[in-house]
Amino acid sequence: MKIKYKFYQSISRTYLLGTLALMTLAGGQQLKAADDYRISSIPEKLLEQADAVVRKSEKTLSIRGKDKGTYRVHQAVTVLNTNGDKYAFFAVWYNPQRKVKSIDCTVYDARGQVVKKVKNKDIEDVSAISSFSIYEDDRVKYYDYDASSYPYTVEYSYEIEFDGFLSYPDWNPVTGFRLAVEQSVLQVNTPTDLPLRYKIQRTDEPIVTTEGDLNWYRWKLTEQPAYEKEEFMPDLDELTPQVFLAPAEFAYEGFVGNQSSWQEIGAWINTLNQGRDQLPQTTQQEIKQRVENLSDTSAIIQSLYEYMQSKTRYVSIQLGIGGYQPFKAAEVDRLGYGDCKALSNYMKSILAVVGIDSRYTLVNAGPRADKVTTDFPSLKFNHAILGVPLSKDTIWLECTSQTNPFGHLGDFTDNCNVLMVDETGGRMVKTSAYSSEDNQQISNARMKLDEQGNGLLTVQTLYSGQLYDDIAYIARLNDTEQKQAAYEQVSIPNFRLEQFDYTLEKGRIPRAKESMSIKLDRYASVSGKRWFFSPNVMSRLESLPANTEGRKYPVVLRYTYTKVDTTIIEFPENLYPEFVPEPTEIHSEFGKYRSEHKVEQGNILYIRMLQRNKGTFPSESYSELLKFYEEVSKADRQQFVLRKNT
Amino acid sequence: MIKNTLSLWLLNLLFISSFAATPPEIKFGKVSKEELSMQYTTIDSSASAVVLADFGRTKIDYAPNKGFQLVFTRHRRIKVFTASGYDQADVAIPLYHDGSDRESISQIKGYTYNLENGKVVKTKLKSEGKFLEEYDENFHIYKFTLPNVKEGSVLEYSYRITSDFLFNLQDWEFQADIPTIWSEYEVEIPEYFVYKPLAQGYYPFAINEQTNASGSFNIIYRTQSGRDPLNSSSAKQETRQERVDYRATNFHWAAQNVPALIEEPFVTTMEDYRMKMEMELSSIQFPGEPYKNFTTSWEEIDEQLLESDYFGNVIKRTGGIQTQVASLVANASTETEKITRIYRYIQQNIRWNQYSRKYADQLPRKTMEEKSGNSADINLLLVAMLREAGISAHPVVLSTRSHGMLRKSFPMLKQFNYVVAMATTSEGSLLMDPTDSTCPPGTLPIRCLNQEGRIVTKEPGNKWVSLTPTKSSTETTMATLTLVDGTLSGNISSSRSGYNAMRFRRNVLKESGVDGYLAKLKENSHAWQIKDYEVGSLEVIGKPLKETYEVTLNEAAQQAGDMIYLQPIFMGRMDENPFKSEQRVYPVDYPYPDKELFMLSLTIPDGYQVDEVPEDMMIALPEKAGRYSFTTKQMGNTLQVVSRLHIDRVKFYAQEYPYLREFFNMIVAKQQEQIVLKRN
Repeated sequence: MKIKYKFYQSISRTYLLGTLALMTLAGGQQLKAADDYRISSIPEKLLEQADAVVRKSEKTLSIRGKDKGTYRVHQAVTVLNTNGDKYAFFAVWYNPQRKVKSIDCTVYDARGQVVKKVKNKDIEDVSAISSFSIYEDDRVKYYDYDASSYPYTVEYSYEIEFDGFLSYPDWNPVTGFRLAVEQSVLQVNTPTDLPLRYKIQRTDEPIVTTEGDLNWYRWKLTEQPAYEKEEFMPDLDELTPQVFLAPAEFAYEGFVGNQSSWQEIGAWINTLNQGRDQLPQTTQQEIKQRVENLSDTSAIIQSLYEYMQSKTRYVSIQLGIGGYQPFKAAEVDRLGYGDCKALSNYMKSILAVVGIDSRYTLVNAGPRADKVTTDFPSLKFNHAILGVPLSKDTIWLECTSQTNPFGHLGDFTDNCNVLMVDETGGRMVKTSAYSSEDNQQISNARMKLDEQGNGLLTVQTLYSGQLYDDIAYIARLNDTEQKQAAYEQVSIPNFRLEQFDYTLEKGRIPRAKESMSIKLDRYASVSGKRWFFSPNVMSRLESLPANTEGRKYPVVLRYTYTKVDTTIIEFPENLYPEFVPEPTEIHSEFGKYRSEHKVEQGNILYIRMLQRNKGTFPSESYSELLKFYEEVSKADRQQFVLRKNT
Repeated sequence: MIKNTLSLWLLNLLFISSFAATPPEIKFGKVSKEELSMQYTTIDSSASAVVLADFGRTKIDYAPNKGFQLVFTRHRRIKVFTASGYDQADVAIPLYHDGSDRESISQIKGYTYNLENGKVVKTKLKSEGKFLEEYDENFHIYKFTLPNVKEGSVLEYSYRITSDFLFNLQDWEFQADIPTIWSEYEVEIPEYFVYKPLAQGYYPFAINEQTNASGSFNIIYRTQSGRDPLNSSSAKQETRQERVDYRATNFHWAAQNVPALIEEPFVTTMEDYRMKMEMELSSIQFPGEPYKNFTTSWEEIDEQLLESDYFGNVIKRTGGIQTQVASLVANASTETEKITRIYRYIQQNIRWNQYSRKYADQLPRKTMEEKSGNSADINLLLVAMLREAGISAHPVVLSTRSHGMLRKSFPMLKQFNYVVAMATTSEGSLLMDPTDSTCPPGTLPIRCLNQEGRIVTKEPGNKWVSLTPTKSSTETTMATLTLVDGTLSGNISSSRSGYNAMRFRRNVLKESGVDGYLAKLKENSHAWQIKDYEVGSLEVIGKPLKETYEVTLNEAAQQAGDMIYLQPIFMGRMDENPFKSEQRVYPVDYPYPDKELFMLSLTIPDGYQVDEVPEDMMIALPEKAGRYSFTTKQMGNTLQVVSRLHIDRVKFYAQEYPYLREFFNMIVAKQQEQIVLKRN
């Protein structure tokens, strides 16, 4: 089990669909004898902030046809300390369409002397099924050197033979933080009649040469210092050199297509999905009956979406054309399960029964909207949803969830560039996104402090838009788990949850309501004749960004929301306020904050508002972001001091 | 009146106990409408699913070509209430194989039952829903997913596993991650075999019986001796067949209404608390053949380990280590010095590959060459080197915290998964494990702190040794601060010992040294400014670790008119009770005893006087298990605050939990209190 655990930690996998398409590819070349892997020959500037250094990396993609080619990788990585071990770990995925040929691996010490020639039996060979998947036919060979001293160098080479292409491997020479690159080269050779399509980011145009009937493309990166991790930074691949590669014409398991345009990619998806939308007569009848009294299109779609949710569950079975072909609607109907493709196709077939046209849509799900390069069509998706175009807007349906509110996309798929497939092919569109007004957390609380300073707090909080998901998750747990989750929602010392309740409203902007009644033993800290407590009971800023100097990268805030809390605190009559905190108002480009403390009719009234903006800000603004957070945190912690009359 | 109530109560009890022993009548393929229309289970009305029944049975059969085999059959029925219970329809069964011996699965049947328009509709599991995954060279994983699962479905499946591994009789878990209404396991053991049952859990059995039974095999007799039921490949060809009747023991257990197993903090491993049954093969006796004993006593386990090529014989193979030992102990004047040198040599040169093992993978020579090994490679090498240096040393086997509790009344080799070393000198015994670079000799890594270990030796005497540290780990912080214009500034020095020091050293290592650690510290401090930071004895593991620095703190005090409010416990304050949950079913298990001391010496600003200080407090846990004190004292313009916490015991049972929780509640409250200064 140990290996499995380590293995899952070391390899990050993509989600839900077509894992093949996004795999890191790698291949090899014969080892040269004269390579210098002495630690002393690494340029000084590459050792700064680095845990490992790529000494050399040579990747060669040789395309020999629409469905034939090889990929060779020869790479040597010097690991400087334990944090760099992950860069020496290597894994090669394979399956019937990607065969691994020879793997060679040698380990060197700091002086560049051979420590170990890795034998074939030392290379592990296991099933590459991700933990949430029932079935995939991928396997992986990997090697994890167990170092006893640092630095050391692992050199490896291997070759993959392709029988069919869905995509070409992209070039991403800096694979992680604190990894420097001494030299990295990508070479692609392709027959002149199969031109290479590529897109570059933060790197130069390739050197192109022609040798016989092959075109050669060459990219190179030298002496790249390590990138350091910072908070609120862009993703690493938005900062590092990237080369995206894709075929024009391609073939995979007999399915031929062209990736030159989104329209053609969509057409290829259509050929895969063709004839897979038939539903049995009884089901068609059931569908028609279900909506016969409904006239509003949106209501019909909602009713049928809920029908689909009640009939199915999500099971990941990644088979068929590299994970791109859904199984038939009739099969989903019979078995009651399917993966994202099968369920989206099933939903599409259901809507077709009542004459509603919908679009099968491919997504590259994840936290970043611009992950799919819209101007470079290629087949690199990992998820499928369904879009239903209406006259004004499009309703997006996530079909893998039995509980998701109608038309709601989680932060996994909202605000994403997606490929919407229609009869003539496909086009790029953007999924819906919630605004800062949609993403709200509004709480109303009343606290009664007794003679001992114990508090009884009743609080109702409404979460809407993107904030809905976390609470909806809690709402669906069983009592015991829900109680635990509710406890974790509250970050106050010494409390007891007396009552709690979660209700969900599945509107177009879904809302979740959390009601709690909490006993706070000794909420006010009673020190002799004085009481100390903060009127901000539930929403103190928990953690602050790191206090770093010399910020390098732009500041990226990915989420926007507004949180408003109103709290009324009653306290015993024999006390009077000795100290009432000043109001605070903070305006910044990152957001707004306002807090107010008042004493009204013998009660304390506390109002707090925090609005966070989203956007990208220059690196210099980091200190202001830090200041904003520090000021908020300070204001949140302000304390009332009450004093006994006597 | 009272009598009446009492008899009613008795009647009730009788009813419950007789009801408790009645298994549900469940026949494969026949699901009742009651089961299908069931809305919730009384065990936990909010559970997403419940195990209606789980029947398991293990028999030992004789296969003409294979010899004796274990045959395990299982029949499970689950009710799904809500969508969160759908994953109960995905089943994964690991199957082990080694050489030609294997576990193989057959007779897999599965159905999903739904109630549609008042009628029971069943959907069959077909081959499209079954998958065999070749996980790695020793494991296949058989997976299936049941079709047509909805809220309200009843799922049912059964399968059979035939196994060549007589040592691995299937465990049975009566407790699952969802509640279980009925779970039953029967094991029939022919007279030739002795298996020892081993039960654990926090819920009672509804059935716990052992009865006599009988059966018969068709045995293939081989004319040559050398028949070995555990190794059928050594059998000879000449055979004859005969029917053999045998007597057998039938074990029968069942549990009813068992709640789901839910994770709790401060445990060794949740697996220690799951209600389950294990069976250990202890001997085999065939008619007319010698008696084969496997594990029956701890002494025999010692012997087995000592004779093993992967344990005792590893220690004897001193080839390739003599010169190293000789050079290490040259000029060492005392035994302690020899031990320290050898220990440090291994700790600094040989890296632990993260595998917790009791058996070595390689010989000492190889471990020295590879500079890496599992816990047994490293610690058996340590024992070998110590002996080579003339020190009395022995291996000590144990069960790590994540491997689970040790049950001394059930001698079984598999209870151990790890080995450390023990050296004995005139000054006493020292437990050692150099796999952790922050562990001094005499201190074991936290993973090893689990009850007792066993000294593996033929020498007589008490072989059990407690692994719970007797000495507390300490953390002492002293702050000498002056308050000027709402800002606190001054010196802080701290000292840590034992596991607290180890944790600190590990954190420093994680940040690749003191500079990295300090940078991280500064990144995370906002109102704090740290200067002249120094760490002493970082490299000298085993010595208390000292830390000193100067600090300026902006936000510890609040100035309001003539008043200053100040939190004296401004660092290391316990803001939350570590025991949040009100109730607890399972014991609390701390790894080691702990002592924490915080002292503040505060110079009061000129023109101010102390208006109020928090009251002194002294509280203790029952039976001297722990105590806490908070005191203040004024001397001239200096105010001294002392906060002291001792946790002296490591295990607290569920009944003691309320005390423990309230103890920490009071500490948290006291540490929040403030000092008030007033302008003269």
